[in-house]
Amino acid sequence: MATRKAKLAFNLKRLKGFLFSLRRSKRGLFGVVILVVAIAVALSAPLLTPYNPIETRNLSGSYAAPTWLRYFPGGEGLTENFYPLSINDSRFDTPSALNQFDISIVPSVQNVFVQYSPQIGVPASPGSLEIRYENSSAPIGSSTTISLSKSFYYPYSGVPGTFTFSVAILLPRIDGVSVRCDVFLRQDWVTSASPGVFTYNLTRWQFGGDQAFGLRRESYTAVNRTQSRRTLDWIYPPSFALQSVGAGITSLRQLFPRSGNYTFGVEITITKLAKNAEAAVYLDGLNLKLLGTAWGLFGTDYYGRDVYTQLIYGTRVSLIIGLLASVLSVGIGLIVGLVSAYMGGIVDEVLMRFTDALLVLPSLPLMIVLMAVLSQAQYNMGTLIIVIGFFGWMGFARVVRSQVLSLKERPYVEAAKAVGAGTPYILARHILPNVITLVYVTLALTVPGAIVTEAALSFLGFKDLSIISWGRMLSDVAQRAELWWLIIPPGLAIAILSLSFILLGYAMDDILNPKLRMRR
Amino acid sequence: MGLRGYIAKRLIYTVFLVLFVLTINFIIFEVMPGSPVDFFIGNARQVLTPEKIASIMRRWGLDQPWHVRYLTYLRRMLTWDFGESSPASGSVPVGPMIMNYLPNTLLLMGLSTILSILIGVIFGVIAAYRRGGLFDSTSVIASLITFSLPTFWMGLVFITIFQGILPAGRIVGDNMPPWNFNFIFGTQISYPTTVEIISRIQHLVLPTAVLVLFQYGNYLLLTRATMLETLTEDYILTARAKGLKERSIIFKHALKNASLPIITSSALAFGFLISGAMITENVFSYPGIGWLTLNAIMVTQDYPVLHVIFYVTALTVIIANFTSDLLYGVIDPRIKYG
Repeated sequence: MATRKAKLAFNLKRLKGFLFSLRRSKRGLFGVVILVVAIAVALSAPLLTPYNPIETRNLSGSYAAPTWLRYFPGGEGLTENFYPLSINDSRFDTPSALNQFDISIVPSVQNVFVQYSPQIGVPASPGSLEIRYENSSAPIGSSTTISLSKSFYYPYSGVPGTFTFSVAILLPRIDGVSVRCDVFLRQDWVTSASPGVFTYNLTRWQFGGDQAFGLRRESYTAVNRTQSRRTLDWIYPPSFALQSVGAGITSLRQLFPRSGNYTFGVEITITKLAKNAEAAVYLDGLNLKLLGTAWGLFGTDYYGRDVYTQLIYGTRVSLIIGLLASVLSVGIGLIVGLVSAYMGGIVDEVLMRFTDALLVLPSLPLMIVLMAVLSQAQYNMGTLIIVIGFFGWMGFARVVRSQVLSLKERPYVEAAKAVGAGTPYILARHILPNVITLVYVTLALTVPGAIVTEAALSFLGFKDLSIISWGRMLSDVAQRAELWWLIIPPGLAIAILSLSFILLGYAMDDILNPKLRMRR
Repeated sequence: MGLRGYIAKRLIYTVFLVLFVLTINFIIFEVMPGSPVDFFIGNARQVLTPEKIASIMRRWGLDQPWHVRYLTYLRRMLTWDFGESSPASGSVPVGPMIMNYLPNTLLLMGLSTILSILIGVIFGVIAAYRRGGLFDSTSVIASLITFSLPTFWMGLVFITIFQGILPAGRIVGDNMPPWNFNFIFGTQISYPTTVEIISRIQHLVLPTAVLVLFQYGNYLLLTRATMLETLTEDYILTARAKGLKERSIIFKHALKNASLPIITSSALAFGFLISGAMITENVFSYPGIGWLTLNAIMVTQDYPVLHVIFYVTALTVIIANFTSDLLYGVIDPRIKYG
């Protein structure tokens, strides 16, 4: 009577023997190493990358190239992220945030105060730049311009991927004046080829005699070499007078034609309209970002998300879907094969004809139709696994059946029957242990198919939107074939992971079934 | 049982298979959540008048119990009465619509199969003949690698490489001329122009290349394995002893005997090939059945069309398998029918 301990020791010994043989098989070892690396990457994904594969957007410009491409011929025009302003304190939480700006008041008049206000802040964080206008002596119709600007050196010859600025302005008290707010970008360099200083007005707000509040974030994203797309994130409230001067800017090349000194700033022009003129203007959230056209190891996708992060997290998805789907199909195949062979007769006939029929049917159209009707345009990972798993069991069921057919005629099964063992006992004790090595091998050899099928289905559009898989990464860039740095990595990842399972499966086949070559 | 009995048995089995496919097809659309009416009318429910919906339901017999519908459906499918597509995609007759796409797919699949069999067999023969050499190991590794590369990814890489050189991708697919069967069915005879033929060939190049890469490894490994087996047979030794030329030994004596499994496997591979072709077509926007399927699911939600596509693709696979069964019976005189 084998004790539990003895059994454990026996199993351990068997495992050791298996591992020893595996070590001697070069291909098997290669497969195992890749697989172990893939599992380690999948498990430690949050340690390997600080970003979220789906939610962390705008890390860089849209479809940014890998950074290392800058050091190759043709990559000279690529730019990296560039932040002229201190990005830590764009909300003016501390008074020192103002120190980075040049502040000027033209003409220099009395009773215009520019200072830091710790109380009021837009949006939702305290601290802002306060401009108080209490000009009683100036003539009606005169204007005062308060400008807040920052000069910076733009180091790249290429254009940025996205140019974004944001400004928040609050006018709680406005009486007898009109207020105009201009956001501008000035090219400060002068050469013989392009003489003079050129200023682009990006946005202009005009406030009348009422209380007002405005928030604005505006982005210019390079669509291609000659065009840019302009997006406005928030304008609030929609009713106040807004003149978009920057609408005439069609290309980022216009704004940033070369490296050199640039000035970004906000000009607030207050014009006196009545004798009693008084105003308070709060400026906040002043930010300027130049997102690059090169980022990280593998670049970024359309939303400026890190492709390296997506690749890492994709390992998880591929492993989970591949393993679960193949467990499902091997499980179904095992049950169908066992039942079919052991029951025999009409059950066998019906099950095998059904298996043959499914084997003949083209699986992908069937899968697509099933995905479509099962999920009603809401695809999720569970459905994917079930659908993929359900179409992979037929071959294995046939193998198990043929194996069991021969096993059940063996003398030891007859002996077990003679001493009165029931069918479940014989199946569990005598048949199953003899086919279990087949299960391991088939598991390993089914995973690549499942991984590739998942990728193909995701590529065709049947993708779970809450996860990033390698297939989905490819489907997102399917229409942009020139972006080879986004296409090569996921495909290679799929191929390498599949290959590791194939090699592992072949090695296991060699070790576990020395006489029985399943397929070769 | 002779050859005739064997054929009769396969024929009966094939008929059952067709019925099985039709039943599965019916069940999928029947038992899934949502009423069958929703599938047939799709997104168009809002824009249709109740009378129109009622008439569609009558047209498809949706107002009747399931067993009546099943029989009607069987009759329609078996008599090739495919009706109209869903109102969302314009209520056009499905039959001619499919006939505009199916030849493209069959051309693509046929061409790539022939090419990959040629490449696979020739390379496989050379690899088997020079067993253990550099050519042998290189070609085996190359076929294993192309096995594990996803088809659609190979397509994307091809598009990246050949961009601007060969037509590949979304826009060009629309420029392909529609099929014109006037020269078969119509009263007036019209032949395709040279421009049309060139355009068709241009569009075929890249998808065919991808499908050849997808398939050739299978044939190479198979040919290599069977050739290795036959090359050790006694009659090869006899042929050598007779002083026959090596070429004649390889092609006339060895390959002829090794070719049987290749024929079987080419028919069995047909099902896989359909999957590969569907993906490839979508990568290259090649207007075939695979492209139409995805369009019917993702864009027009056209379930009547899907019904027919599924039926027709399954039918092509069934016919391919039946043909290979017949060929097998005819070619190999040693086979025992039964």
